[in-house]
Amino acid sequence: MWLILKNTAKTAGGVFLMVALFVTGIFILSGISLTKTTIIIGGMMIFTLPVVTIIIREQYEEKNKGYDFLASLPLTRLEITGARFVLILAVDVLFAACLIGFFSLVGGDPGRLSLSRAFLLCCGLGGLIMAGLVLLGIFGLGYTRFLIIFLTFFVFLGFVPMLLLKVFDIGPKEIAAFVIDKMTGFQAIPAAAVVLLVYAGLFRLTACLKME
Amino acid sequence: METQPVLSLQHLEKKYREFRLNIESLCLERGSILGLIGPNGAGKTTTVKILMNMIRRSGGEVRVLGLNPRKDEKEIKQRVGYVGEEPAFYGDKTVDWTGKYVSGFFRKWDTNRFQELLDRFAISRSKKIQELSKGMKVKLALALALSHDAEFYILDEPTAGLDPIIRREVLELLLAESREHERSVLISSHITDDISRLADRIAFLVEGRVVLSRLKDDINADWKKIHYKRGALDKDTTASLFSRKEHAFSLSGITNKFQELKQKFEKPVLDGDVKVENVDLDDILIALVEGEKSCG
Amino acid sequence: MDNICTIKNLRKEYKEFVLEDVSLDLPRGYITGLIGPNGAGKTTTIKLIMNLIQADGGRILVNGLDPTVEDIKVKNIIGYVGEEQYFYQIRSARWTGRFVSRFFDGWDNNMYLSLLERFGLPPKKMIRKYSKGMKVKLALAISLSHSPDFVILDEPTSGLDPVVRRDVMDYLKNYSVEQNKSVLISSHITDDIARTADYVAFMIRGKIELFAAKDDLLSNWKKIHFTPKALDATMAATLERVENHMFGSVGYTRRYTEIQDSLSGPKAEGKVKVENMGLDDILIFLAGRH
Repeated sequence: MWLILKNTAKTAGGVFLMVALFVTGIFILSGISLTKTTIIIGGMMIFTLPVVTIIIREQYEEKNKGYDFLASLPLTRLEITGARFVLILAVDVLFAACLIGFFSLVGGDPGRLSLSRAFLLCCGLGGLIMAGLVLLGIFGLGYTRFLIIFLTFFVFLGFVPMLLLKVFDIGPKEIAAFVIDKMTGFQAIPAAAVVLLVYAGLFRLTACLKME
Repeated sequence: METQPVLSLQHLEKKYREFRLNIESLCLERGSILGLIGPNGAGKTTTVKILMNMIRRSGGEVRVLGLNPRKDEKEIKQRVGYVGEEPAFYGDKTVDWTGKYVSGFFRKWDTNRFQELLDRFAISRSKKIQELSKGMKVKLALALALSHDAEFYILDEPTAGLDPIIRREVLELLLAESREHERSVLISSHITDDISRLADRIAFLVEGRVVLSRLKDDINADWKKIHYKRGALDKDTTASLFSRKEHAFSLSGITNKFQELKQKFEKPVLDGDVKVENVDLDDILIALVEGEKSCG
Repeated sequence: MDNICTIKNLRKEYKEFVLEDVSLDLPRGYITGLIGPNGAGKTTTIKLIMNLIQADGGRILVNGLDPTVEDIKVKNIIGYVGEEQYFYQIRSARWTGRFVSRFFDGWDNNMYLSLLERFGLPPKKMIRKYSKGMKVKLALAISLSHSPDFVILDEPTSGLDPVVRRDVMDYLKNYSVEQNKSVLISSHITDDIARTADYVAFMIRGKIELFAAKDDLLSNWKKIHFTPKALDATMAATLERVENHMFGSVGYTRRYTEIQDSLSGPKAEGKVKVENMGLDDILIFLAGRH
């Protein structure tokens, strides 16, 4: 399993660097301070990084029939899928830690800082669940079929804010207030524990699925 | 040491929507070579993949090197040299990289042997996988499978697309592995000539069932092509022939019990009314497929 | 002899490979098998006949016509099946037939439909649902439906099972015999060539090493095992690549019919054993490996 991780680490590292550069760029543009924009973009990046890493890597595996190759080696399905889940977990934790550390370094209003931490953590955990679902989907449905469903889902997701605004009269301000309200009482440790448990469950399910 | 078979299948079953694989029993002793012959879609690849735990069986007992593929997948893959139907590698990586990567997964890896096989198969180490032809990829897969000191080789169509010269070389390599190192081989191929050169035992798979599995020498002794003049054979004998054909001056058919009928043929052969010929495995397969169809 | 295709001093140069001075006459009305290792130049030769690539020298005539000048006419004479079959996956065989019929003079749709039936191909089924063997049969049906005088097949049977292969080869044999058509077929499965071809061309490293009637090849090429002094000088002179082993020697002859009678004595005494050579054995000999 270690060998698979080593081999996939390059892909993950590449995506990691690109996203990190992007976030740094945004930071410099916003005058190196904790603004609402930087926090939101940071959170969004944490949320999407695992999924992007998976999609890039899985596309490579799909193109090369990588799983046929791995299946011919002395590896079990548990190890092959395990390597993916571990990799994504590592990427996610590392990136969230980096960003939270970075924000702390920049510093700012303590209230906003702790709020940003909670928000980033929340995005990281959300990203993890999302990643677990994506892996489950890819292994269960096959890469191509999953991607079609996934993209359709995202197009649909784009309509949600419009729907909220038009039908329920909920605008960006209301959403922000809602988020801030939720974040202030955020219990990091229980939330992380629950998410890790769900993530482990998704891994188990995926490992069982990848059998004909 | 106990002489445990390297492969044993009992009541193996795999159900698909439109196809059912159902092998009553199949066995392979250590040091022998089993050739698997059958039309496309007969279940050869499914069988092989079940042995490697790439497909889950629906029922029955499977033992590979005495191990259960479901439970001991890793150990089986360590000790089996496997070449799949369409070998897959990472296209952007070089041959060298692939060799190093694969070697990391095996307990025993013989680097010298691998290098020697690459030379022998004329595969250049610095080439990227995507620059290799289909045949080259098969050769690379063979080199990898032969380099980790496997006890048992499971090869699914390893000679398809290879030219006759390389094919002969591969066959000689496998023969040496079996004769000199007591290693066992399960090989499926559409090129029946290769099977008849290599195998000790041959199993014919038709529509998911093993319709014939015997030692090659027994098959050769019992299966013959008979050319005969009209009226030279009695009704029962004629009726028992497969693939009966009428030619301009004679008739022909294939028998599967020549040893039993030998006496009946003796006189007409002397009279020149019957001619007995050896038959190719191709002809036997075609006869078996026809037989299967006429039974429904 | 009347030839369907004559090739004279054909040359084609690539960076790592040269097709050198290839000359070959393919007799009309017969099946010629083209055998050779990968990379020997079989596909290049076929592509040159089809005018899909340009030669660097030499001349090809198909039915007396130069493919580089009368491209369309030559393509109407030829029916071609390649190694890989490409079709519109979501179309049926019937649609595909209508589609390609526009490109050929003399397309006979009734013949096409009867060929589909002969090969057991459902005309209305999507090609996506065809097996590999069915796709090869479809390609063959398409290539034969304009009654080409010259059928060219480049590795059509690799990956197909023996049952399908026999069906395809038997059909080609009948097509050639009954309608006096010519066929050129390249294949790695020498058994298929041995069963159907009338002539065999061996191509090695960009050259035609040998071209002969199959029956002559099989009766003349033998591997001879003999004990010391079993052969006289004239017999020994027909042998090539003689190897001496502990208990006797082994050599190859390509002129067995010349020495057959004089060998019968030593053969009866058990001093000589004659072993048949298959086309693959001959190829391996010609390629210089054992």
